[in-house]
Amino acid sequence: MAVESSKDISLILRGKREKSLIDEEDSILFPCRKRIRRIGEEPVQIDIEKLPDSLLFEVLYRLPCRSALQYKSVSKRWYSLISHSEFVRRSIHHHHRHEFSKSHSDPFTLALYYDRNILALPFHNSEDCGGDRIDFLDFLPCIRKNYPFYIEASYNDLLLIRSEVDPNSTALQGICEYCICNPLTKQWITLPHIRLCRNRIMVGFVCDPYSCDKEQGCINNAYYRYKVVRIYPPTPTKLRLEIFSSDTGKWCDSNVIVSSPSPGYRRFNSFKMKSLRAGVVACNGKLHWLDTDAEDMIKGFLVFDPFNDAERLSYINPPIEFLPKGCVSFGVFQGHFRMFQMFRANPYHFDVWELEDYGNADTWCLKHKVYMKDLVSESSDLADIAMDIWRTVSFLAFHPTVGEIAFLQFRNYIVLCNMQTKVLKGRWFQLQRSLVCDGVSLSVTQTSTARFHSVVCRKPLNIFRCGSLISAEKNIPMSKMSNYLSSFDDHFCEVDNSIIRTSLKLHTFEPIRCIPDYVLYCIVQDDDHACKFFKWLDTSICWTRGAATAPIVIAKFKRLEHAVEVANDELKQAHALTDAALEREIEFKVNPIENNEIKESKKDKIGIYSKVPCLHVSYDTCMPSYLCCEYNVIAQIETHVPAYVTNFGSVQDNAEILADHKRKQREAAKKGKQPLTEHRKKYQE
Amino acid sequence: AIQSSRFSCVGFPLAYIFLACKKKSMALKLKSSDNKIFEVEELVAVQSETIKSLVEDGCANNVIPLPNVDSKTLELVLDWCKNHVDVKLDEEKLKEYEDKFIEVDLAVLYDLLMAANYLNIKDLLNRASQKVADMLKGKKPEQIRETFNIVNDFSPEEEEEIRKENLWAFEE
Repeated sequence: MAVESSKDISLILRGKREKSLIDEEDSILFPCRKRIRRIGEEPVQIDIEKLPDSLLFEVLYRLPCRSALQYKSVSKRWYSLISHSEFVRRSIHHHHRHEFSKSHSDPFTLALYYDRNILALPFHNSEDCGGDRIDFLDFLPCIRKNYPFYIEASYNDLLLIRSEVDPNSTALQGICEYCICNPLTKQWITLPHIRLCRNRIMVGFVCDPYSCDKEQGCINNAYYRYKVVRIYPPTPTKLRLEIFSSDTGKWCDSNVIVSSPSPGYRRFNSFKMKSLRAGVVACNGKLHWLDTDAEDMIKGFLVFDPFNDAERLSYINPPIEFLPKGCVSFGVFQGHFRMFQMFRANPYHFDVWELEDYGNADTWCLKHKVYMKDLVSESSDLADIAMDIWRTVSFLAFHPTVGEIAFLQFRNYIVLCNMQTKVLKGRWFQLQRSLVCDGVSLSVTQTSTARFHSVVCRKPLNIFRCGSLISAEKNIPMSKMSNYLSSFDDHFCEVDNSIIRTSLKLHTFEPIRCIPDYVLYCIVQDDDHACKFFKWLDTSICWTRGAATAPIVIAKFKRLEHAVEVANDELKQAHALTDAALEREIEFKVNPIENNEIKESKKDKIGIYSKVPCLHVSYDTCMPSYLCCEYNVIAQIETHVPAYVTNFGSVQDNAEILADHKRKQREAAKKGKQPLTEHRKKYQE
Repeated sequence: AIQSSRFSCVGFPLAYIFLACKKKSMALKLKSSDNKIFEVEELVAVQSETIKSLVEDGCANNVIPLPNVDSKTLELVLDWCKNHVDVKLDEEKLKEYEDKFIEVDLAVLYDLLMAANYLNIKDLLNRASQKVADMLKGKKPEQIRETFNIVNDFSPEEEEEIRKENLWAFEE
């Protein structure tokens, strides 16, 4: 009752006020709209249209971007308010402040590029994640047509994608196309065609953060001023760049030349593994990449400002207490440049540095130091991986809004690592098919302001990570899992990382079941491209390399062969049992009363035996491919380890060995005998 | 008595303690649109930028007329101000208070919004507009029109055009 009466009072009061004031101050205070209110209107149905523009505006810019854009279609008045350039600015401002003040953040998507697939993991708030989205980039013509593509870079909610123009047309071969798209709004623009560069170039993509059109606002991607920069491997004094500028709409060449020794003079270092792996990061409208010397030791960061000074590069020195070793990645956290450095030894840990006072003093601040042994997780699997120095742990990206969270890759898990509390969370992210991310990892924010602006954490080109290639799917030749160089079906070598995998196919006699392929892969440490040692997929390590590996591999396969023999015996037994059972079944047909019971027991027995894994080692693939694999290593890292060549002779020899071996294998198959002994002798000589 | 009815359990005693302690501070007289006089501490009242500028200009000696705010809304607004004048009030309690305060029906919210805008009280304006925005959020444009009596002045073609332009926003 009390509520009712007070409402009545307010209505009456309001009516009075309206009458007395309508021609007084109201029009001055609210110039946009006169307040005209009918008495007797239902109090619940308040007409929002009567709010003055300024107040309706206050309300609207607080809406999430998605809603706001929908409400453009409400009425002309709403349309004009939401389309106003001030709206965008206020909306960004509001949501930005909102993000900082609240612990939860707006959703964003972590997109992983692997094996020509994209795994998009939308995060709805800081700790949660939705399912992966496969249709992430399906709106792009090059992806719909299934052309080869590569995500080169990202900036806020925009992705830069390189694709072939038309793989079927010979005239267009060697030409590629860059397109910039917004996966959220499903809009894209295509840049003019450009020559495909087979060299190891790096690509940077940067938008001018202050380039929103004054009249139009940042309604469309095209309204950003942006640059796409292709960076060629430099000579000591010259760096070649190809820059696409949104201002001119053209690609143009630019050369940065270091002339005479001057203050701050430095020679350019050609791209090495580390810089290629860390890629180009855009921060504060500038592009950054890692500077490493001829020994791949980190010297600092190169900074290129394509908007203001396309003629020069500047440098950011690494922290004073910095060890130029380890694996370095970098990214951006809320406009701050951050560096992630992983040390595999003494003790196993990683550091996160943040650059403060950017552009002035450039002081580094150690934000986090995390020892892997301190990491805890509900999942014992994750904790195990953290403890095991030989398991692959690599950095993917910084969380865009929560400073203490980093995304790491733990073998085939994608893990949220809280560097403050040392808690790992990864249960949502187990990658399908156990495949390892192959390419770019980046994040696209789907913030409520994403259309206009978003916070980004990114890391391009993290290339293939070593480890974890258990092919859970049967009968996929490993070469098909990667688009990298492969000379034989059953192994491949990856050029960029000198990670070698060679597989021994161990099939079970049942077509459905299979045990993991045995994979031997080479561990290459960061500061040395030479193969340090090999590792089997079952994680045991093989320290020897080169020719000395052969006997070890042979010994291992002998053991496996034995296992196969045992399994084969068991198979025979199983077959015998089956035969016996069948015989008996024929008997039982005469005696149908006992039939059912016996059938059951027979099934059980066969069931048991058929579960015994019966291995079939195909030497045709295992030994020679291992060797050939070695040769591929020679081809790739020749300059570093010439010793390999002398150990192993020439590739031709190997091909002969292989051919010879294959022939013998065939003969042996006819005789029903394995040619292992001969083969082994040959190598033990 | 009617004026204290909306004082929250937190706000009420504190506001009075505050009043008791700060006798020295000048009291201002505010006149609502329906000619009710409210006496408030200057410190409370000057949270409104509008009143603050009046006080600074020396125009606050007599009664300050607030012709755009009715007594019921003014009472609410002053309650808000009293609770925000004391910075010692811990954040959690303040938040609790604000949450409770803003839980009003749309008519009152609308008046608060207008008053906050007129009196230029930033916090209240933020809070009230956020509340309205929260009410709008998640609704379809058609529902918005229905709920708030908005006439669709687009032609069907125009509306389709806008939808197309912002297609992604309409997708679930």
